[in-house]
Amino acid sequence: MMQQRAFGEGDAVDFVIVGSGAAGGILAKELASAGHSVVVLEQGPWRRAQDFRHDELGNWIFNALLPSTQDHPQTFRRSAEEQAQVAQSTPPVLYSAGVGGSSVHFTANFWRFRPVDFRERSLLGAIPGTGFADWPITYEELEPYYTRVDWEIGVSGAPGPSDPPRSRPYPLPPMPVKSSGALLEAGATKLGLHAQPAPLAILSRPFNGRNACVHCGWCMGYGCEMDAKSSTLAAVIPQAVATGNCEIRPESTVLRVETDAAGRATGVVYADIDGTERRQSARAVILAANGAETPRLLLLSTSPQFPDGLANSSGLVGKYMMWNAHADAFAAFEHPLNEYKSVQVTRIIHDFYDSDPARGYYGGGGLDGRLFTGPLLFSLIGLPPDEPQWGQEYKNRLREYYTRTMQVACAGTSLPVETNTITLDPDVKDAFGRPALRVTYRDHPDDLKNITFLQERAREIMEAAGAQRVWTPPVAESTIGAHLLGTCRMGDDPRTSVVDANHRAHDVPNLFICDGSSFVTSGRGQPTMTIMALAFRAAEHIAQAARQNQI
Amino acid sequence: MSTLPTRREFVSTTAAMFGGGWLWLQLPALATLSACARDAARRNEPFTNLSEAEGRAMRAFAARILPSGDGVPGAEEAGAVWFVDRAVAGPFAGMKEPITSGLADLDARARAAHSVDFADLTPEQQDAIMREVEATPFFGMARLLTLAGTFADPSHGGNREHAGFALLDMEHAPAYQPPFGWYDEQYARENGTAADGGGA
Repeated sequence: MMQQRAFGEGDAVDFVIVGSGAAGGILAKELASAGHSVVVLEQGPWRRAQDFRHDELGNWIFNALLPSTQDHPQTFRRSAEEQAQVAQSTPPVLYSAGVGGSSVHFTANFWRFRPVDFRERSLLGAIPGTGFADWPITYEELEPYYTRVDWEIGVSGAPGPSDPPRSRPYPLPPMPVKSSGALLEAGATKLGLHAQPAPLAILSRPFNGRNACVHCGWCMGYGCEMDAKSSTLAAVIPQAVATGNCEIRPESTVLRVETDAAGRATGVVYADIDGTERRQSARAVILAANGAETPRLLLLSTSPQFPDGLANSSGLVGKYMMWNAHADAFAAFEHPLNEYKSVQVTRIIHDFYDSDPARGYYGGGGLDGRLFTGPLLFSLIGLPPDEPQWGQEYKNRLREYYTRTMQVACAGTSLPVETNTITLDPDVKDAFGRPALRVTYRDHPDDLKNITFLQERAREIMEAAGAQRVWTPPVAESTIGAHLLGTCRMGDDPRTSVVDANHRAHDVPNLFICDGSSFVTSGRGQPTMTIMALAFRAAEHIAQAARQNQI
Repeated sequence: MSTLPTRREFVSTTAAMFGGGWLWLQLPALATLSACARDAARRNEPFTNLSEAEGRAMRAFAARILPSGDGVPGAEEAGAVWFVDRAVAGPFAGMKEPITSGLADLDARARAAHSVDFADLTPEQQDAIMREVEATPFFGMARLLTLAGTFADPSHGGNREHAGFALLDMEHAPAYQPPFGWYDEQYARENGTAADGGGA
C-alpha cells in the first residue's frame, strides 16, 4: 500500500469526503493539493491494478466489483403503487464499490456535454409532468474544467463534426479504429451521417507516468491492470495521497452525516472494516457517494431540525433520478471483426444529439459501435434469438458469429420525473441496520420513443454497412441503471433544487454535494466526463470558500 | 419458453471468488508445461463434489451442449465437467441439488428407455432425452454451468488450455496490436492511417 497520511480519530480535518469515485477522487486531489486536510471514506476495498483480472464469470455473473447484494440489498419497483422487491442478482442501481468507484469498471466513453444540454428548457419549453429545467451553469462556464479533466487524467480523441467548442486539443490521439468503428463509419457515411473518433478516458500513449493501453479488450465491467484506463484510482488518487494531506480510508461505510444545533454539519459517523462505528469530524462535509447513495445518506441523516432528511427542505432529495435510456442493434458481417480485441468503442455518431420537435417527443442521443459480450456472455446471450441454444448447430453458430458480430449501442436522454426516486425501504435492512436503498423507476414515454427511434437508426446504419444479418432486442422499460443522475439537482432556487450552482447545499452552509446527483438533465448517455468536470469546478469554489472562511 | 438464462436469472452469491491464475503471469513456456501436466491428469481426475455417476452424466450432458468430434474443441476438451464439480461446492452451491437431481433423472430416463446410463447412450439417444428435459430448470442450470466451464477464465477450473476460446476462433493473447479485424485493416489501407486509425 502506498504510504499515506493517517489522521487520528480525534483529528478534525478540513474536509471529509464520502466516496472516492469520479467526483470524490478529484475533489480529494484538488483540495489536498490546495493544502487542506482531507479524509476520504470509501465503502469498498482499495484494489490495485494487479488485483484486476480478465474474469468474465467473476465480474459479470458474480459482480465482483459491485457491493455485495447480501450486505447492501436493494429493492426495486416501477411505481409507488407496487411493493418493492429485493433484487436477487444484479442490483437495479449498478455501481462499483472500491477506491475509484465506478470510474474503475466503466467503459470509459467520455463525451462532453454540449451547450444545448445546459439550457434545453429555455430552448424547447416546459414538458408537462416533468422537472425539465435549465442548469444554473452553462457549457461555457464548465468548458475550462472539461479541459482540465482532459489534461489531468488523460483522454484520447480527435475533433469531430459534432463537437462542442474546446479551448485546448485532446492531450492524446484517438485509439486505433476497430472493425466496429470502421463499419459504423461506413454505414453512417452511406446515409449522410457523420461518425467520429470516440473520446475515451483510456491512454493511447503513455501519459503522466502511466502505461498506454495494450488493447487487451477487457474494459467494460473490468478494472484495468495496466492503469491505462483513466479512473480516479489510476489517475488522481495517487496524486491526492502524494500531497501528504489526504488519507483514503477504504472499507468505511458512512452511516449518517451529523449536524449541530446551529444546523451545521460537524462530521460523519461510519462503520469501519470491522463494523465498529467511528466518527470523523470535519470543518465541512462533501458527499460524492453517487446519485443513489448520496441521496440515501441525506435521507438517513434525519434530526429534529431536519426531520425529512438533511438538505431536503425542497423535498427533492432522491427525486428526478435519470438513468439514460438504452437500446442495441446487433449485426453480423461476412469477415472477422474480432471485437474482443482492444477498447470497446472507437467511433461514435452524434447526428441525433439534438431533440427535434418534429419527431413529436423530446429526446436525443448518441450511437457507438462495440461488442460488450466476452466469450461467456456471448455464449449465453450473444446469438440471434432464433438460433439453436445447444448442440452441434449451436456450437457452429457460436464459432461463426463470435468474431463477426458487433452491436450499435444507443444511449439516450431520460427526462427528470419526480416519481423516479431513491427512497429508504420501509421493510428491508442492510448489514448495517440501515433501511435498504429502494429504487422506483419507470422511463418517461418520451425516453422510450426516443431510444426506439435511435435503435431504428442503428439498424439502418448496420444495413448500410453491409451486415448479413441485423437483429434488435425489443426496447423495454429500464430495470437497471448505471448512470445515477439528478437526485440532488443543482439550481439557484432553494425551493426547486438541493444544491446551488457551486454544489453547496442550500440548507446547510458547510455541506457540499457533487456527483451524478447534481445533474439537472441527463445528457445523452455518457455522464462521467461531466461528473469529473463538475468536481474540478466544485473543488475550486469549495477551496475558495475555505480560504474566505465561508465553510 | 426459452431456457436461455438472462443476467437477472443467474444465481448470485457473495462467496469469495476463486483465486488463481492471472493471465498475464502465464508465460508461454510455463503454460505449455502445465498444460501437459493437466492434460495427463484430466482423463482420470476424481470428482470432489459430484459422485462418479453424477460426473459421468454431467460430462455426457456437457458434450451434447457443445459436442466434439468436428475438429474443434468442445465442452469435453475444455474440461467443463471439472468446472461443474468445483462450482457446485463454490459460487454455484445453490445449484447443487437441482443439478444432481437432474443428472439422476437423466440416468433414470436412460435406464427406463435403454437399460443403460445416460453416458452410455449414443449421441442420438442422448439428444432425445435432452429434448425431453429441455424446458426444465435443471437444463437451464446445467447448460449455464457447461458454458461457464467452457468459456470462463481458466482459473475457475474449466476452459482448459483455453479450449473455449479456440472453439470461438479467438486468437487468445494478453494483448493485441492493430489490425484487429478485416474491416479495420481495410479502413487503414483506404485511409492511409496506421496505428492511430484516423481522425487525428
